[in-house]
Amino acid sequence: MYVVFLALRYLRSRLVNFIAVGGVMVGVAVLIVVTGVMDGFREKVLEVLRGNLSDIVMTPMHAPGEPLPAYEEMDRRIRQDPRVETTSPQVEALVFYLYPTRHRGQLSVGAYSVQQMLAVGIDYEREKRVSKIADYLVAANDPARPFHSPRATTHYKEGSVMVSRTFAKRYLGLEREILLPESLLETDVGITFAYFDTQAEDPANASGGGLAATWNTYQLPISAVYDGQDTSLDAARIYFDKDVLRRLARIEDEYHRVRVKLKDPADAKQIKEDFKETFPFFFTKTWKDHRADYLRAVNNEKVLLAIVLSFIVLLGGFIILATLTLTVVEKTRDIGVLGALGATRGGIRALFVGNGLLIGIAGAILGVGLGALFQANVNGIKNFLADTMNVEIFPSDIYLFREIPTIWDWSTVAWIAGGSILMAFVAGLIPAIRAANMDPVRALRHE
Amino acid sequence: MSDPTREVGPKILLRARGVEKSYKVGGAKLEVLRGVDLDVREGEILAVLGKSGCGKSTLLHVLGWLDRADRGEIVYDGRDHAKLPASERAHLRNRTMGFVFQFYHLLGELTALENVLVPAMIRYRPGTFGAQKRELHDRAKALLAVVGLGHRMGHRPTQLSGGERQRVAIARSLMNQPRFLLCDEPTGNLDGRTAEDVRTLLWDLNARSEQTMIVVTHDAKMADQAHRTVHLVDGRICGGEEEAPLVQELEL
Repeated sequence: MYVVFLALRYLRSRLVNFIAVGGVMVGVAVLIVVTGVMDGFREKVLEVLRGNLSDIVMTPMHAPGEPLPAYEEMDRRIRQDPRVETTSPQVEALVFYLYPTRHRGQLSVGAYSVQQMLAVGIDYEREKRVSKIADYLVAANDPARPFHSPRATTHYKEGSVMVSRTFAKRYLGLEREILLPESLLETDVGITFAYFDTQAEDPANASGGGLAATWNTYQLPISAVYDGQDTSLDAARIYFDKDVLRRLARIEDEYHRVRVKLKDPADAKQIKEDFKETFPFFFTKTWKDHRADYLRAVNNEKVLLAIVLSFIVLLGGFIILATLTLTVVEKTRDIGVLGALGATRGGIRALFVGNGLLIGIAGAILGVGLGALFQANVNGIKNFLADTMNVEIFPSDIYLFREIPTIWDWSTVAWIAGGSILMAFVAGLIPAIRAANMDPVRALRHE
Repeated sequence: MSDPTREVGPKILLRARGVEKSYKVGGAKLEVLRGVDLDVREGEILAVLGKSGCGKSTLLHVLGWLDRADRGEIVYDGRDHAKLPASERAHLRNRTMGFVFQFYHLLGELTALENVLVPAMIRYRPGTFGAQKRELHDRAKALLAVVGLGHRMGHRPTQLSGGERQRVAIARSLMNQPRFLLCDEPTGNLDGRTAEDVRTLLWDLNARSEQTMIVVTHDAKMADQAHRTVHLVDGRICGGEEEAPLVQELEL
């Protein structure tokens, strides 16, 4: 009985115990927040990647001149596999985007900058069934037909484009994304297409030292704005209607990629292997392959950070060790008295181990609470830092996302809390054993 | 009030024979006890007189199994408990002995009442303690009332005077209804008046409940009032087996 009672009293009586509790608390909270953010980040990357791609992406690797199988034919053959739900074609072209140069937010008159962009041509009706494009639309003249522009029928006969929210923020001078997006539907963008004559006798020298190239610039109205949530991908990607892009870019191939939606995404890896056999003239990748290195790096970073931050918890352990060592010295006479009153060595040991455990348990509980609080408000804190001190702790151009994604995983939290309690136990054990081995007679004489 | 002149019973509660104990101080061997023979009879107050530093405390620690004798035997209730494992001796000490120290040795974090309860907390597991919490608290309160501190139960040791602390310590020593008390200079740290109060309290306890006590002291006045006095000289008991005056003047 005295073990619990005295352990609580000893804990309560000294300020330094609360410092030790604080140390464990901070360590636990930091570990929880960091693993929560890293896991959240990883999940978000996967989610966004899948939303922008599809379960499987196939790229034809036919030799020049060799005819590509017609899309309807490919679609039919792929869908023969009962695990496949549907497919969608895509064409791609590199284009150049000309935009007015800005200096510190001010337009520089007459100066233009050029940015290379990936123009992606899609069949929207098919595309919305393999990716999340429909969910990502944030503004459109007609959400059912995002490439429909009233102006395209009157002035701009060539067609229209769908740009990303990130693109608009970066190039169209919209500092605050909140101002989006309907105003953009009145805007248009200048896209330059380059055409290379690969059939020229000597393309490299065709026109005196340059490639045999010509180009055309089109002013195209924005008919829709999307938010693919992957800022690095979004910034350099413009969607076109597939046939519009083929005409403007003078693409002969009917498609450059076939994107496949599966009934069960878990089959992706197996189907990839099967398709390599069935369609030897296609590169077949799963959606996960596309950012495999990135995902591995994120995971690696998480493990590394967890290891580094574990040292904070370990530091908490050392505080407990120091505190209890002091307590044992300070309570030497108490130890002698308890011995005289009939406490066993085991009891004395349990008393001080209990003291350490109480610190560990209190620190872990408070740490979980603090971690939860911090994690729930991490974006508020991020925005506060950005607004008041102009410190951007999560720049969206590096980390892809505007909001810091987090995950509360109870098993990770339990591991962290359990680990720190175990550490408190071990830290308490050393002074406890010392206390238990004390000779009560000498302890009684201790002044 | 019981009869102050009552005869001490003949039953021997604790018997020590040839007890030796030495310490190593620096490199030298310091022989503290060199063959102590001693009988403690049930219900008596036995005073062990000796100069300071003669080994009185060591004798008390050895008799209370806090310390092991190098040689000799200490028989309690017919068994030599020195041969028991340490945890057994601890349990036995908790149930059969009460200690009163010169410097009180109360636990500073606890109130007077909680200090008195400590031996019971050591004795019982939390469940058992909880089940009889009321009785134990009543008993501790009663003991504090006996020592005259019924009104200061919630005070910490630092809020009590020396005499009051020693009274709390005496109440604590009685908590588990021990067979005998081992008192190490119980008045050694108190001024004359307070010392007298504590002495009176101890003698009254003996008179009331025939509580056996071994009192180690260098205070001759204390020895005068004991049933029996022995002297510890050069690590041996000598010239002390004479019967102490049985007539005591108690001022209660």
